[in-house]
Amino acid sequence: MALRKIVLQGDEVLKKKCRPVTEFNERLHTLLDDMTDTLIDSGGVGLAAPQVGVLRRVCVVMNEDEEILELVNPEIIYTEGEQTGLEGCLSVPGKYGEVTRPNFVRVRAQDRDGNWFEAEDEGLTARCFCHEIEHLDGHLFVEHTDHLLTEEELEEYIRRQEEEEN
Amino acid sequence: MRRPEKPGARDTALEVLLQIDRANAWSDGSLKRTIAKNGLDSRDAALATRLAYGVIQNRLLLDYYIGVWCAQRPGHLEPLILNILRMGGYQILFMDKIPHHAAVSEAVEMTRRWGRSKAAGMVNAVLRKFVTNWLDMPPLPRDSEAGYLSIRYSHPKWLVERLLALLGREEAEAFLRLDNEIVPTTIQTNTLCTTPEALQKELHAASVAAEPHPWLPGCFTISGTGDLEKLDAFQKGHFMVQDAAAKLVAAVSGAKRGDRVLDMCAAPGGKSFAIAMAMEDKGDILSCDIHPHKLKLMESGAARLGIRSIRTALADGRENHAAWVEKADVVVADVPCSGLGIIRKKPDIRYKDPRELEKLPAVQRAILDNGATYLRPGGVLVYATCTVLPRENDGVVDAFLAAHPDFCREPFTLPQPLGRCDGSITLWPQRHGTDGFYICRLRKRAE
Repeated sequence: MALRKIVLQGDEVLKKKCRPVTEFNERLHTLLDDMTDTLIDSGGVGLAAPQVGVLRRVCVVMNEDEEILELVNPEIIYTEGEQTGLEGCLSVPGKYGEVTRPNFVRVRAQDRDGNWFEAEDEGLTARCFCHEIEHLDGHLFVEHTDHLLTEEELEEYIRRQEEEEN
Repeated sequence: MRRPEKPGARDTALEVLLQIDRANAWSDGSLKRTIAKNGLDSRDAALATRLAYGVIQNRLLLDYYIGVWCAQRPGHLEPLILNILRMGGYQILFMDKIPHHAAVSEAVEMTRRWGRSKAAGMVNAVLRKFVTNWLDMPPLPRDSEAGYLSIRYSHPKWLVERLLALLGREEAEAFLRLDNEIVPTTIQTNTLCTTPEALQKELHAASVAAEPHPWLPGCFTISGTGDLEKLDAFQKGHFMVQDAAAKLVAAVSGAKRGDRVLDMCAAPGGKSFAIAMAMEDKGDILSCDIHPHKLKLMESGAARLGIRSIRTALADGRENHAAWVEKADVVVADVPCSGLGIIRKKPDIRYKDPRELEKLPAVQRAILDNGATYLRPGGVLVYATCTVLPRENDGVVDAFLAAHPDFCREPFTLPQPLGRCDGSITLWPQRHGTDGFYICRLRKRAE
């Protein structure tokens, strides 16, 4: 297992547009393996290559069944509906903000050997597709929100949501 | 992406420690409330409890080391940062299963998460000192024995000095050490509905390890329960949780079938229940307490155990109820006390303000005086505390006897190895493996 260092907000690398992957070689496989290890270690649900300082169109997403999807050169090809909820980012530690995203997202991407496939999901994982693919064009979730929650507001938010669920 | 997370075990422990520091909460209540609020599962609840208790049990020691490596004195640090450092230090020094790097990175991450990013570097630096030195920590100051023991076992110096005077160096140290060790849960068989043998079989069948207590019949130490209150045997009232020392109160009282018993400060009810079992649930026990919500607790406890002989009443132990005068065969006064005998179960008791504790003997004496009036001539008055300080124990009894010539201490016999006791006994964790406890038997002269 190799953990990579997660780049934090403020680093120029997070603002750059990433280049497509053209060679599906050992280097890519190592990158994907390391990104999965780093994601699991960090407790997040998605990680994009620029977050570990690599400017290539690669990301990993953990769905709600805790399966890891490797997405190479991903594009969003279809969206439906809308959801608004709290979102955070491994590159922006401790901060959360309310972001509106599509509720259903279909993605077309290549696997680690270059084969094209489609993946689709809703809710949290749909949100995560959007969040990670945005990273590949140099954007962060904070651009979609005017207010980042403080620790106290976050606690209150979670409490309110749990009360609604019950 | 990261999704907003519920507070985890460490955040919960931190919340609890901050509440205790503000001196507006006791650890056990605060833990229960905060674990429920944050919705922790049983594994995280156990970790939060271990962390909070561990930090309380080692606060002075951890602060000493933090003071060695931190440019600021611990007392000058913001409580939030200080408690993050204490938790990190505790994990590094005392929790074998948590890798050091995880303890450090969790603490640093937590510092950021709680909005103190500027302090993250300092937290990292201090905890790295713990990691590099953990096998060879800086020596503790040895200028005085009490000072050294106070830091080593994290007990306030006044308490260490008191224990040294009472017990001598070796025993005092054993007492202090045991206060920081994990205590096995002790249960008592409900002899009204089952036998010790049947209970042990029932617990084994539920894969709970139940070891018979070394000297108290019907008593077991148990482990591996998961959630004890969810056990079938508990729900059916086949046992209750109670320390061996507390159970002995029933034996010392000598209450028997048909007696009328008044338990003056009865909540949460364990001693009343033990007495009901000794009386085979035949007789009349009036269990009083000053807190209305605790009466409900006792009533539901008695119902669970299938006890019918207990009634409850709201009463301040210091206030006299004319209707009860000279009615009881047995009066039990298990009075409010400093609790220094149960530090191993409630670790923050050690930090109680000693000036507040000085007010206790007057309250204890008032309850004892009042209890004496409820006793019929020839009856037995049992005085008990869960502390080991003589001024709350023999001190109160001696003063009481001086003012009540119609009472005297009466010898009693307990299971071996305790044997015959000359009117009173102080139980000690380091001698008897029980809570620290005092029980005295007083007989009111028959007319």
